[in-house]
Amino acid sequence: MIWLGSITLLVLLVLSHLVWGTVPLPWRSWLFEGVPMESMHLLILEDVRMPRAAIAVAAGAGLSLCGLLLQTWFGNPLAGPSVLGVSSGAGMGVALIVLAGVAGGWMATTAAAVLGSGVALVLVLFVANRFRGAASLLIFGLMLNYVLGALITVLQAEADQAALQQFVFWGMGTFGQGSVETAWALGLLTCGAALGAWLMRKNLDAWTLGSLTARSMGVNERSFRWAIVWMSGLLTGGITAVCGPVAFLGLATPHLVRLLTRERRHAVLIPLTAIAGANLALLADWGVKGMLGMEHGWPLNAVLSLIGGPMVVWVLVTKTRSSA
Amino acid sequence: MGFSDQNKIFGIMKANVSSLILENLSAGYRGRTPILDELNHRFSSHGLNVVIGRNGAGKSTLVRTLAGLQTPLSGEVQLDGTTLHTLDSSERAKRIAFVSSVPPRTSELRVHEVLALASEDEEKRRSMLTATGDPSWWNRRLQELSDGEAQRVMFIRALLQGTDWILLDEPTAFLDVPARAALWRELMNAASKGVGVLVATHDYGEIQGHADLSSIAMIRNRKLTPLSVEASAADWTNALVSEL
Repeated sequence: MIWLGSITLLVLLVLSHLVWGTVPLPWRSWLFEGVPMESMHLLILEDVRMPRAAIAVAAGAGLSLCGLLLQTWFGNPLAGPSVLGVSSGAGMGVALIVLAGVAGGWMATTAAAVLGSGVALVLVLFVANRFRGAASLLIFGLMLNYVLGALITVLQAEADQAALQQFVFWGMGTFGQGSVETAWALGLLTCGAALGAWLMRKNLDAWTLGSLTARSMGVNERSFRWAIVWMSGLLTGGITAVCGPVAFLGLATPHLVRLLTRERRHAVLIPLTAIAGANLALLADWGVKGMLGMEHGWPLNAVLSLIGGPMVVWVLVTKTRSSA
Repeated sequence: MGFSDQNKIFGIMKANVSSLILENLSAGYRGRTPILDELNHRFSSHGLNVVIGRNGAGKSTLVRTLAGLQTPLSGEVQLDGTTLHTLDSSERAKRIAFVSSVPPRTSELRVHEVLALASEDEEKRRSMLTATGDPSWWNRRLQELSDGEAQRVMFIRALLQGTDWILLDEPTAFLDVPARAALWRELMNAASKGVGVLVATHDYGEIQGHADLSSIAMIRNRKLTPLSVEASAADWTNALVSEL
């Protein structure tokens, strides 16, 4: 039931994003009278709406998967790419490219974002090995966010006007700045990561029993850890390069899925988290596209934080109540 | 349930005796004084082996090293002629199972989902849970069980791994008295079916009354000393106190 519902919702949301937008497309005449679309309309559909919807789906699914993997690996319900400083690491990479002008082009930006998130994640892993305990890990992630944020502010103060404006808009987050190529790239990346996570589903289940027990059951800790670092680093880095540091999705989606399905097996959590993440991203993009009556719509991160913040609080409250 | 039924559940009466041999084994953390120094010892399956020692004596280090979860500083562990630490993690998991001192408190998996990680055979999982635990746990979340129940589920999971050896690191440390008794009963039962069970504990009193131990060894002063199985808990305590 939940499967049917979430897949149906996904299809409807994608269609809605293709059908509605600022420029009305002649769907009625195309559908009922067989009038072919003008080339300008086809252009809007193929180069603007399709990539935007695809990027929203890939980014929503990818970040949510990343959040699920990190929550399981760290055994911490508050783990997620933006909480642990992984998104900030990617942001630092992008800031070096855009603000400091170390290199140029989208390839360099993406590579820098992937590298930045990878380095941040390795730092977090190092700290997690040294200081057991969920609280110290989260505090470290928070501090990493502050330090990287401070460095980015320094770069911003030194940057020229055009670069600064580009960076600030990037920081608000959007699914709308990608091309057809970046849509394909993110799509393939997310599919690859979802497949990788699916192959690790039993190891992820075993990991919830504690690392020693999981290892005694045959989980190879070293390759498992590197798989998580690579997948999270590539996902967060790639998505952040294209969409900006997207807030809350990675943290909130896995909780929503656990709450709605009461499932804990990764065989179920992985696909449902990916679909739910895509749905949330598409829903948020409606807010961005100005469905709230504003002329330019709201920044993506504002919409996501407005949905995500209360949602995480709600999850925590219901969780405490049910376990008390 | 009769013994023949139980034998069916445990697979076979394991015919071959498996041995874990410590050869000049030093273990601990790199760059520090070894916690265990040049141990030579032999553990045989078929029966219940107990390692006792005070807190901090190195019981966990020993059990983890013997389970292949920690690399020795020097020397080696031989498992039936194979050097344990050359096995990869999945091969090792087919031969040695491990139960930690802390039952998993955060996992929200259901009991049957945990058991499914150790064995694909649902019928076997159900009958093992019935024989060694309580069938009513099947659909409950690990988090909802008491520590004692969760620890028994972890032991059943270890049994389902179908290994020659099950190594337990202070499995009763967090359990109350009835839960301890229940776990010891299951350990004895498994040992009598031919599974090599090795338990590390600091609680000498607990061992008393388990007459059919096959070996006891004590860790003190970084060495492992075999003790007489016939001796009483008072004797073991005296042996430990004499070092103070």
